[in-house]
Amino acid sequence: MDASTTPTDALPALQNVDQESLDLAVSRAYQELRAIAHRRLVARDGQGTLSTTALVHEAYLKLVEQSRAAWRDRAHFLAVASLAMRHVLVDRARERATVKRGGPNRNVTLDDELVGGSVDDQADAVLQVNDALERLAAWEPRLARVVECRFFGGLTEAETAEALGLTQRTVQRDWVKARVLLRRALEA
Amino acid sequence: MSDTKRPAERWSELSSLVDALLDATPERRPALIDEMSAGDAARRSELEALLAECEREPALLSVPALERFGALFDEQASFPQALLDRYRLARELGRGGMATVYLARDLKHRRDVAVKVVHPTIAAAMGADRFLREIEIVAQLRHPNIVPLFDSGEANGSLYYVMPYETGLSLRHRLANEGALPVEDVLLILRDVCDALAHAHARGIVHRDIKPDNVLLSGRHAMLTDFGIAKASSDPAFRATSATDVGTRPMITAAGSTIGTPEYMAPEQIAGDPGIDHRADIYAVGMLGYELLTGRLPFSGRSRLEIFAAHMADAPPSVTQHRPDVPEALAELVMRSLEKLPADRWQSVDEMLRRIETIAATTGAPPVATKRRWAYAFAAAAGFAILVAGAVVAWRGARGLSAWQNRWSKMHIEKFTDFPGSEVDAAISPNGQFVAFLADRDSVFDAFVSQVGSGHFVNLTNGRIPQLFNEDVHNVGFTPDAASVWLRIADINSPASVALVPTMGGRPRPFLNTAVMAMWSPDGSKLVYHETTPGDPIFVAGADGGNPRRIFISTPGFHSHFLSWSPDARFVYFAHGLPPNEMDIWRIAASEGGRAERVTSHNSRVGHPVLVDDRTLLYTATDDDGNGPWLYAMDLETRVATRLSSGVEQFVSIAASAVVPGRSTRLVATVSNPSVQLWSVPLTSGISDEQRASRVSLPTARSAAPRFAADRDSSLLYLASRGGADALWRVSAAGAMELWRPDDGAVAGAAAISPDGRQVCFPVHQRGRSTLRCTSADGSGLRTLAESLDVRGAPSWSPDGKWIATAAREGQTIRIFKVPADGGPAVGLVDSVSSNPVWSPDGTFILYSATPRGRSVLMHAVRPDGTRFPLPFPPIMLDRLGDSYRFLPDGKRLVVKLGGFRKQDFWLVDLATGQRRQLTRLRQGDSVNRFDISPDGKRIVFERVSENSDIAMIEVPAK
Repeated sequence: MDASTTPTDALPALQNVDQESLDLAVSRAYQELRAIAHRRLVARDGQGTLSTTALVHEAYLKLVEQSRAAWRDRAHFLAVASLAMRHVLVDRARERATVKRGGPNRNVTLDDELVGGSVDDQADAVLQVNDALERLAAWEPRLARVVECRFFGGLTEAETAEALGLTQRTVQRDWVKARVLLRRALEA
Repeated sequence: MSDTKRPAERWSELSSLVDALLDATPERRPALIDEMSAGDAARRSELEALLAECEREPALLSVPALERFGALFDEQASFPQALLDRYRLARELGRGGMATVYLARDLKHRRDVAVKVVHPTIAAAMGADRFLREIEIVAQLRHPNIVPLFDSGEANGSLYYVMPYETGLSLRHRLANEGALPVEDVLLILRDVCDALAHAHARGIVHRDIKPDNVLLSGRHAMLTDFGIAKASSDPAFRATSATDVGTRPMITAAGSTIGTPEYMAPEQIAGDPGIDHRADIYAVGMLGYELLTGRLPFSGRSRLEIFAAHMADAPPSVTQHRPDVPEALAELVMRSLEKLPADRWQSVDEMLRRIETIAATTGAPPVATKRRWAYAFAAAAGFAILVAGAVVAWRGARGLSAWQNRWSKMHIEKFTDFPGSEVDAAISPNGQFVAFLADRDSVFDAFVSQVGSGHFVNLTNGRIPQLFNEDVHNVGFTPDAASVWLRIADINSPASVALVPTMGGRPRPFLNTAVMAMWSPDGSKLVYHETTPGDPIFVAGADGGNPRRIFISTPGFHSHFLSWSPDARFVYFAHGLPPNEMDIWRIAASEGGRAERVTSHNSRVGHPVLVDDRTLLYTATDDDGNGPWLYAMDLETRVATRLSSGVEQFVSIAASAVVPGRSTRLVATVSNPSVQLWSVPLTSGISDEQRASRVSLPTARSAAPRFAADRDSSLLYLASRGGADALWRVSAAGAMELWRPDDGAVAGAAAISPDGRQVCFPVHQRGRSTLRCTSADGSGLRTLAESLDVRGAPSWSPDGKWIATAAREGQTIRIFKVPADGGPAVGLVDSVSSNPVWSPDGTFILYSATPRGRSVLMHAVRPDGTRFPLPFPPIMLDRLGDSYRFLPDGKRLVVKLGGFRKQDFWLVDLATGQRRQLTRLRQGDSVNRFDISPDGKRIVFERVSENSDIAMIEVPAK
């Protein structure tokens, strides 16, 4: 996990938190989410799908129970968890990319479903979306955070609003705009 | 995005547009767009598109990322973390109902292994203790037809076992590709499976999951694997528990994981009979035999419960009902295995084995002695063979023809062209009136056309189209009416397309945008072509290329070239495999596609299938020694192939006019008599031109693949033959001598000489695979290194003498390994496609070639520990045929080979600066393949191949 990419700007729930404790928080959430993801994905045995929302909630309960002090509030956790979830996926995609054998990368578009896509395709897609999101964050950091919460964190509009300290209507609007811009960023 | 301002502006504009659109109520939005576009239609449609985009959730983002990309996690999730310090996970190989199999690197033993991880639900149902105890028993099995067990246990709550990584495919793959198998192959496979089971049953072990997925093919042998749910019948726990796990709970989990595979389960296994014994395996072997012979199962395609019910109650339809040509005794063997009551079946696999041997002996298809079949076939077709061979010699003006006995005897062969240089890839119009081909008479390859009998040749392209010739595919042909010639148009930057040129000359016009070739059906109503996208998809389209329908696509990495119709247009025949040297002829139904069927079994350079009547397939193929290509014919009814051409003339291509009853068929062939010689050119501060190149005088007809030894008399090792297969030779001041010659097979690549000059290693190709062999410098003391490696190309010795780097085929890819010089397992160096390793003189890195792109390849480097070694200069596209790079003795500079088809030159590259300069200006038209630099750094010795080919026309009279 690359802590230097952890953005504290435009993330009200994380403002006034020093970088070290934020890293610690993200790292804890990361470990926990990863572990829960493992267990749940094993349990579904290739059949059902996994609910990210349920996963984040389970991680929250567990982490709150473990170290109440580390979390200022639920909003704080949701924001951190979304960030951590992005790390979990991107790290995993990078691991995959290093063992991948040959073959050119496909350009991913927002219209791809990737259902039945190979692991390699999925790894490519995660990395491309991550890159595009970074480009988006350079111009519209708040929109990138919304994508992080909605897509990577699996948060609802209400939870995203809570995590980012925005109104639900703003989140709605931002989510639409973010999609439009992310589409362009992926094509760039 | 070099200009960062523009997208930012564009984005903020988009942002405000989205705001404006969303601020308006849905009803008001059309009016808003009207206003904003102010009559500008383009602007209007742009805004409408943007609005539509805002209103719908894009597919990728419609589900949270973790669910969308769940597959990424799945694998990591089920590979036990605790194993990662012993095994380095490479990738997932497969996933079944019971378990997931991973390819991993055994770090301690430095070998690739397959790690099978049992799904936790299954493991929980079986109980870890019992699983481990059973594995312990299975670990004691030692049999050539049983895949051994390296390791097993429990890690992170998951049960796993570790097996050798078999690069061979499973019987399931073969069935999927070919459908029903030849009777003799079925006998071979059943014999091996029964042999393996006899060993297990004798130790009280019942496999319980015999099915094609669990039989791996390794060369001509079948190996049984996956004793994961095997039962030790002697174990008291067996009787006590079997009733619960297979009886009362045949379906253990909601995920649908049954112990055993429904389609192959014996009735007593389904019923949970506590007395289940080895005869359950006999039932499954019967199912396996049934499927191999008929390509189908008696009970399948329905729900699991229905399959169970059918096993219990329904009589399977007889094998001969689906395939009447199965010998009666073999059909009986299978049907008796499928009896409902164990007591009515064969009582032991030994009994079955004896039966299989008897069947093999009486049907004339002995499972082991396949050579006898070939000998018989050859004798039957010998008349044809010798006569065609004689005819080929005849047009060279050497010998007269014998008396002909049959249709083929009236064949008339004549030389059609006599150009200097090479003529390749000849095609003939359906009416037999025109011949088109590629030739480099005018220095580059052009397309020529000639009317038969006219003696005139028209150059259709006059140097205007680059890179016309690719030896792996068809490049030229005729439209059905012979009014136009089609040409494959390709350059390095764009995918291949097909253009039409009027046969009488004129401008090329585009025809098919993404196709490599075009072949019209005999009646001219349909067209078949393939594309170059991964898997070389094959399409059948209308005569004008409209309405294309894909009939076949293979696994990426495999290729399908040289498409050809059968005279009745029912099948498309094509060369399929790993080009250039691991191909065979396959066929597929032209109308419905479906499974392709393998027709030949050379696994060599195979191409140009042509059907000259409804049962005779002609094609070109190299032999097991890599010699040829020769002309082969196969009788499609008996599937017997015969080499038609003898002597040294190679058949580079073959094509036929339309097969019309009552009319003679014309064939055109490209016949080549290449010379392969070593040449030497000085390495100076200027450019050495052709005048400064000289042929190295050697006593052998063919000399290739030079390698200097750093000894006192600066001797040179090379490959040479006196008419037969290549052997290893040494030439020094004392003269030339043969160092080592294989009893069968051939030396398949340049030798590597150890730094102390005492040992020599080289690849030897025998019976379909190549192994790395080493001898002392005098050719004595032969040994094989890393026996399991199927090596490719030339090896390279590390300067400390401890390792030998070599490329080897692993599954569908070729990659490089290092092999300990004193024996021991090979260690992978590069995970991706890689070949041609050359160790740097200081030992710090190894140059290698990455994935080839056409004839070119990029050079990369890796450190001996497998980490990437950055090459300090911008990458150069090298010519990949033979050697691409050799070090100068100072280790700081390289001699590389640049150029393209039959037009290559040497360049000097400084490794520190990347600067390069041209060293030679050699004549065009010949291929420069392998080369080496003399120890004093003053000359380059290289292998030069002159093709020297011509076109022959063969007239086959009507039946």
